[in-house]
Amino acid sequence: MKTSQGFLLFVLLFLLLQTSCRGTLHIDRTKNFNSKTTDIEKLVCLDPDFELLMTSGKKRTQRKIKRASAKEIQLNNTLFRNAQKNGIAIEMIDTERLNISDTPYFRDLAPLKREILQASFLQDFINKKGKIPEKQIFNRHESGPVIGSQFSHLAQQYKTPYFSIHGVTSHRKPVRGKLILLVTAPPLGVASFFSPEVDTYYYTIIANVETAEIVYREIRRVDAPASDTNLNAVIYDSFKIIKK
Amino acid sequence: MKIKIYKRLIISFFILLYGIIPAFSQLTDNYTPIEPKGKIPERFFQSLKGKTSVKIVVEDEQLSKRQKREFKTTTQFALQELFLSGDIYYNDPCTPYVRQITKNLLKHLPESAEVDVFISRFVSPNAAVWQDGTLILNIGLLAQLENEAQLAFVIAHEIGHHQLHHPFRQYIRTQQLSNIQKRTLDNLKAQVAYNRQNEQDADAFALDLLAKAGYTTNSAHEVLNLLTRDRFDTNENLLKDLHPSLGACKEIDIAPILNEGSVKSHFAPNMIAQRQERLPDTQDGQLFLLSNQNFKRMNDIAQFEVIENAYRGADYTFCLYRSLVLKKEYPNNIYLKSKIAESLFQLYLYKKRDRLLQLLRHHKQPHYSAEAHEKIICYMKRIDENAFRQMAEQLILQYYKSLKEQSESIVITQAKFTELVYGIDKARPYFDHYLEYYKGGKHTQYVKKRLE
Repeated sequence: MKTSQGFLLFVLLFLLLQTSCRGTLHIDRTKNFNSKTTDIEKLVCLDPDFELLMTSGKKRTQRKIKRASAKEIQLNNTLFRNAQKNGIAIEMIDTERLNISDTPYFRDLAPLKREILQASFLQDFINKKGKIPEKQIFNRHESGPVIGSQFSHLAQQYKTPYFSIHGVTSHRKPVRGKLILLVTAPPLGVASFFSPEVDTYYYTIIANVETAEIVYREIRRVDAPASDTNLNAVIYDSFKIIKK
Repeated sequence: MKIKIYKRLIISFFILLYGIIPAFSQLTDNYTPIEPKGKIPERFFQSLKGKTSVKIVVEDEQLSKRQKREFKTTTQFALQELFLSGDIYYNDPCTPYVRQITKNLLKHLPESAEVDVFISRFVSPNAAVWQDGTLILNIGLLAQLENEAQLAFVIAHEIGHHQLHHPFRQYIRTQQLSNIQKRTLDNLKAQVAYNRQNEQDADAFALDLLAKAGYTTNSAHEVLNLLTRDRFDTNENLLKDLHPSLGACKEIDIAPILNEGSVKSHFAPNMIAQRQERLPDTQDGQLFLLSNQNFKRMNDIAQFEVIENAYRGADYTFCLYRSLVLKKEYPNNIYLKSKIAESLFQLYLYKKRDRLLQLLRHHKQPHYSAEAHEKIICYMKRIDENAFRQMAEQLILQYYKSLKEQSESIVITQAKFTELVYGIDKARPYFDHYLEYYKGGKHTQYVKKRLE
């Protein structure tokens, strides 16, 4: 009797792990970022990006452009709301609202966005003696990737040195239900058999234009759709960590 | 009365002299990169908002209404992303001249066509057209061309793609690709053959248009040659100009590195050769119909802009290579010296951070074959950190000493380089110097922060 109970418990635990929401998280930040002396109060958010990808049965991946642009508006609102909850003011640079006199966007902000993405891709955070750190979940480093100092004048203009890039990429894969779940636990199995697999990635990069370096970088993955509820939880947690 | 006329003549002469000297001496002494200014032009704004009209006049029954709608959305979205990236110039000095050439070519089409030309900041020698009539010429292409007829050929070739509906046909092809052949390799081969046919058709269209407009068709051969080989390439060891000790790098065997990268399919030597074979014998015509001077001016600006954009794109070896090439023509140009100093600083930073190979790998695909550039890459890969530091240190300091009152970029580079090597205390005098001479400069906030 005891053995069968134990087995049942094991099966239930296994099923729970199978059906629960899983994901990964990786955060790099400089030691000086958001220390007691430099509390982050305002972020200039450079045109958040939402990307929806869908892989069909024939393994052809397509970008869902129209649905993604509708989701982008939601993302902007979610970012704004959660930053506010954590005591961070956000100035949103939304390219949807650009007008013909917005040349400063092309002169300063578009090049800054490219510079941040480029530096983040090509460089790493550095620990003592110039060593690249090992990958862990939470990391504090001596210095971050270097960006050009020609953007430092923007700190006065926007009244904050912190400029950030946020984005979501959601990838919907073909429906591939697990037969074992369908047999062992029909209620869960049926749901899993017909619901598609979705990976959602959320990333944040924050640069300090006064010190000309990237000070915070985060990427997290959840195996769930980029719904409002999921994004709300993810983004709230992200800002909570930024503010810590 | 006579005195008045003489007075006017003298004043006019000085005004003329005052206007001409800076125009000619601008590139000899210095260069100011093109920055966006003024209001965003209407047509640019339309692309920015994804509101250009994509007309589909090709009737293809195999494509559903939904797929046609998707093509329109994809085109508009791709252009929107491109225009938003900040990589397209507007209100710049080069675009009006290029537009004038396009306008003259379009006059010779049997039916009117809406083609709007823009210049992008991309340094590869390429051009592209979209089904909505947006024609984009890369600045790298404008720098590579030698005369107006060559530029007219490139534009006419792209107009050909547009008039023959190649962007749309190619989209249909991609959509239906899986039905054409079963194996991926066969699909790829079919795609290459299809592209080659499109290029040849566009060439034929361009030659016809060129002849009608009065340009020499010989330019077609020249352009195809220029696509595979950088016209600024040299056998000289450019690095020797930086520092005498760098003469030794000519002994480095660069052959394996030269063979490393494969050339992009659009410029694949085979395809270029096949296109050249198809070109007919040359016909008489003009090299310049509009203006020799305007072309020269645009071409000069393009060469400086290629350097600026290679730097912005973190392609520091290419920036260094082109700066060294251009410095032979303009030995006293401050901008070129600042770009050499900045590129060396960046390359040293990546080397020190153990990320140089990753950087070089990122820009591995050469824009076209240029042995002098490959030599620089090879040298950067092989030189040891200390030797590189010594070389960069001497050169940057030398530029700093001679130009510390004229170049903000060189001063800030000297300060950053010193801080990177010796720490903030040694760099302090250079940061102080920056604040003293360039108080309202773009780096001021950064400098103040370093000095805190």
